[in-house]
Amino acid sequence: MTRKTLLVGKAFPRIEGAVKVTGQCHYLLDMPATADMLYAGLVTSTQPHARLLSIETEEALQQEGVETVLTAHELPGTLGMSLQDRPILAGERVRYVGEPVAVVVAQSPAMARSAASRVRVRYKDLPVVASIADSLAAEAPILHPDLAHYPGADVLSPPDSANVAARFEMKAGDMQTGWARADVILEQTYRSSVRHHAALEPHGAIARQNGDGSIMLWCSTNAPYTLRSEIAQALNIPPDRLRVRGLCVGGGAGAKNHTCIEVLVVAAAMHQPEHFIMLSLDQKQEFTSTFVRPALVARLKMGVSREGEITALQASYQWDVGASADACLETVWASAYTGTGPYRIPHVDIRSAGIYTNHTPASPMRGNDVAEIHWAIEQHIDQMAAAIKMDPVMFRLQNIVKGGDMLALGEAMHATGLDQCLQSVVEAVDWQEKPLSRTTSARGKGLAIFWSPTTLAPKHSVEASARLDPGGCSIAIDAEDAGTGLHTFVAQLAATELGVPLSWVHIDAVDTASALYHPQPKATAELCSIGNAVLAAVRQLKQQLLAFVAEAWQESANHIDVIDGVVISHATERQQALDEVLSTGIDTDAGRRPAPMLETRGQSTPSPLFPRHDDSLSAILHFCAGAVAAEVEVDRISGEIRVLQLAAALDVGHAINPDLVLSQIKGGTMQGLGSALWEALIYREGMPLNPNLHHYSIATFADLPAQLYTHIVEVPQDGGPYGARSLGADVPVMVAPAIANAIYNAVAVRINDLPITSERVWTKLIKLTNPLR
Amino acid sequence: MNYPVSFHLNGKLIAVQVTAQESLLDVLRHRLGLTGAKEACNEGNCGACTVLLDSLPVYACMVLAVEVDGAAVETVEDMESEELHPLQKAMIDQQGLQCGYCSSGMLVTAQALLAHNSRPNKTQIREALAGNLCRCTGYADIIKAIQVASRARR
Repeated sequence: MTRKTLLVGKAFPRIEGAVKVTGQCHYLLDMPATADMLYAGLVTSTQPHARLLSIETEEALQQEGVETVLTAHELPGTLGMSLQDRPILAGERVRYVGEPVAVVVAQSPAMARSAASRVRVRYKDLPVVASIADSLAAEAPILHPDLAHYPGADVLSPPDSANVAARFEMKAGDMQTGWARADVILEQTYRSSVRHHAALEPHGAIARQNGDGSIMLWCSTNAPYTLRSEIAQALNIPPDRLRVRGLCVGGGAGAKNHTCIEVLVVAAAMHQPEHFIMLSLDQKQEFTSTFVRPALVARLKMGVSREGEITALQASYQWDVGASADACLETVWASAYTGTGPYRIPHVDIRSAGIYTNHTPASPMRGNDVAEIHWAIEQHIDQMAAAIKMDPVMFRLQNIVKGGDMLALGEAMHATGLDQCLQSVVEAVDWQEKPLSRTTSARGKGLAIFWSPTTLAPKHSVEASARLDPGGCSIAIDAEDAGTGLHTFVAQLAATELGVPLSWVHIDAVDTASALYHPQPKATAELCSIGNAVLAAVRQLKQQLLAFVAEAWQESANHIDVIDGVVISHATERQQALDEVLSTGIDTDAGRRPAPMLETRGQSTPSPLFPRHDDSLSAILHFCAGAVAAEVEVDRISGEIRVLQLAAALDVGHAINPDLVLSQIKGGTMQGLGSALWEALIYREGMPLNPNLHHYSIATFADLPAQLYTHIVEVPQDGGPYGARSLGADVPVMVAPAIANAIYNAVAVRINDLPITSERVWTKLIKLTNPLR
Repeated sequence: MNYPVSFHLNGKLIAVQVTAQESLLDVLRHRLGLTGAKEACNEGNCGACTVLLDSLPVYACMVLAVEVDGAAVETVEDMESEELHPLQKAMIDQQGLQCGYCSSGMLVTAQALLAHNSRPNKTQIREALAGNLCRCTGYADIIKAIQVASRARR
């Protein structure tokens, strides 16, 4: 009987497109200054590791227009939802360049900057922990001597070394059996560099404590509820006292899921009540005082039989979490539980560890950093295939995990279209066709596949609310759209469910006063969990609407529906436009009767969650999967790399908006290209050398390959809204290993360290032609 | 010390007092309330603040306000009239934006390109926009949007 106007699975332009292209979209820095606004300036550490001897604030305080200077003396305490290992302000020591040491509050941004430069900080340098190897050395300085006493530390596996913040392991089968069944065993180490999220919009915040003690916070975050929890905990105030308002977010990529500087602005507002306090980071602070993506050292040992079966995998994933681990724990966790890559392997021993160094604290970037895992696994897989003289496509197809296969973490895998993704990119680059090579340059093709977990804090549900009034249907969710298309996806789901045109649906800016609660919103879980909560809310809303109409028309609600914005009775063919019903009332036999304002809430408690035995940190909802193929040209003399074509295919379950999904895949592929070839935040003995977008290279227009192919595969996800999976985080994962494999195919050199710079290729090429060098 | 500066902003002559160290971006955003040009790196690295100075795209964060005395400045706010500019429409339809932070700068640079070259090819678009960074879209759809808009204008 019901005929739904299906707005799901169709391409629509993003709903906030018009405000963004006219410059009218209000990001944090676009909020108008108020007459009494005060400006915060940061004093940050210039040393990677030092004892703080003194912080002299007198000179700064005497500057014109300076209201106050806060240090750890006024503002003690630590941050962290899972592990409280991040000081709000550095106390007795600094652990990274860029660590906030003091906050100056003044009447203008220039006064704040000037005063901040006059805060004298005296350091006594300590030995620098410049790398994972440094950190694990026997005589290494211990960065967090009190780690065992930090709140949250008891939940994590006991560290086996003083500078290990957390470790996880996953074991399955019996390693001896696995090695015994192998004909070839290969062991290798792969590394990646620290990277930066490099969202264009810098971090910033505006806060104000009102006369009644309540505090407002506006900031650039995808996750206002997480920030509220973190800040309230750190400042020891009830969460309800803090009201966080969402704004348009100019990109986040994972750097805006946790608080970094926002807590300082709230604290400053509490010291200067009834003033707006504003802080916006400059470029260097953005690179050094927020978050970075962790570097990885991966050691893999894999066994394979002559018939092409992977028999065993032993892996160690060591993450450089920087000076604090809290924001990055899930990465460490996820790498253990998903560290097999998308392969069926009977005997597995994987250990992951988060290791402290004197770098900026790490946080996820576009997903749980499975990229680095696949950087290692996917190059290793190519080498295993070569060792037994098997085609890398066939080898992968033979070993990929399929629906129903038992995973090493003890649960059965769901179905994915991973094999279809692989076939798709293989065809796109004419895999069988051998690329042309010349004397001075060589071409090669390579590929990589991946899986990426969508995760959520366990035992928590996600809420959404829906409201129907003369203005249309308003949806409130708990996350902002940082460009992923989340708001458009949600509007399409709501409009479909309610039976109204897409233009009727509005997404409210997040306001934590609306009392939705989402413990740890993450970009990776957005669509699935939020989408289901929205569907639940709108279904209830529609039921209430139909019940109201049924009562007015004295019919059974079963006969009434809303189609394309018109309320219609299938029994009597009576109908009335819904906007008229909402604005002026419903026509009944006894005249018009006003419609009530309807408001509902919906919940989704995602399932299945696994691993079920471990509910301390996170749970996996499902895996997104996909494949990338690349063709490159390598200059045999200089090592210069040109990427000629990239093909990416992703199984998204069901594409709610194919255009927006393809946009995510294209953008992710290009971000992946940048991280494959250039992106590295370079530290020398703890000093960041390139903390700006000039010296830290991301992909530009000039780097677009001649061919960029993107493809969607749809194998519906059980439990996903209309069968959809979350995506967005995942695409960059596979680009780097696909390019590395293509380079090997072209010139027979293997690059184990990311990024794949021309210099690294050249160095290996030279050794190839002249082994003595 | 303040200096009087007058220039044409989006077609209107305006006069404003500025300090010697204020950038054009500061003046547009903070003194004149035009927040279309976005503030991002403030170091001339990203292009999010691009505006047209005498019809040529410049990074507004790298231009001192005192330099624009007597010049014509156009910002993204000037693009739409009754309805969206074909470039703006194409950017939405072709998915040429995600987070939107680079969009103002992209559009203004593209507008300058089309003013000089009404039918640019892909290479010309890539060269003209090489100074504008986008972290989200991967650029391909922005190129497509500019090509669609260039056809629509004819």
